[in-house]
Amino acid sequence: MIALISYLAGLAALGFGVAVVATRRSVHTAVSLIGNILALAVLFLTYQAQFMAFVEVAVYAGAILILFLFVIALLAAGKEEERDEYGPELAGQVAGAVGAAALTAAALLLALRVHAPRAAAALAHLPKGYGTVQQVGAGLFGSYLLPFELTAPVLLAAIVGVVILARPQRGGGEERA
Amino acid sequence: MPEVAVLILSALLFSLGGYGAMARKNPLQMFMAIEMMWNAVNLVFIYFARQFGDVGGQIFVFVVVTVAAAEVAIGLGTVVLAFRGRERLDLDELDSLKG
Repeated sequence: MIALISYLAGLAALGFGVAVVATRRSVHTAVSLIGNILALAVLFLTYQAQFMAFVEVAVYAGAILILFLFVIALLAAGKEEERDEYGPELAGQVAGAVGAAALTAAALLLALRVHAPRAAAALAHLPKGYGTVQQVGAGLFGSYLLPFELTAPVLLAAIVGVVILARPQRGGGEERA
Repeated sequence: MPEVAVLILSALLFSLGGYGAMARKNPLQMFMAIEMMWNAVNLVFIYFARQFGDVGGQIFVFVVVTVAAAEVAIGLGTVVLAFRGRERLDLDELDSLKG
């Protein structure tokens, strides 16, 4: 059952992923990306990452994509032409993307091969309650406290940066592109 | 799913995102392709975290999502600044640094 769900979610993620690079209008791209993220969240659940599946939906499909939709409404409305975006060199581009995919997959498979014995041993003794919110929380506030705390300055830097970007320009006449 | 399928799915999503990021002319769509690349990486983190029974991979996803959120906030702010008042939403319009 879980295997079937993960296959379906993987196929959906791939289909929506193709739609993300193939759709012409920004709104369609955004909706495809939401579908892609929801499918990935289902995959996360099948790999016992409950908290991260929730974060993926709430932060990505929720906050980030809503931000995208706002900017699309602000910028793209009425400005998008139905033009053929990719042009005649499409075949070469697709070939390049497939080659990149093959290389990435090869690298990942090599990593898996190198660590296969360790992974088999770890899977056989998967800790009880692995991936529950309690366990992730204990990790966040325990051995991974430093990276967790470092997310705070990252977000603060983003807030300060956006405020500076959005501030009205002083000095006039200065063009910013 | 067998592990090979997960890794190939992730590699495909990553490369599709990279393709979109390079080939797209609309800055918003280019950005969304980059978001898909982040997510492909997250899938590998989650998958290997369970393979190794180590919750650290999931916490790395937490950090990645945070950085992605910060990146989107700054990036979209820049895109709005750059394209507000322009006629077309096309990255080729940004040529003021061209010599």
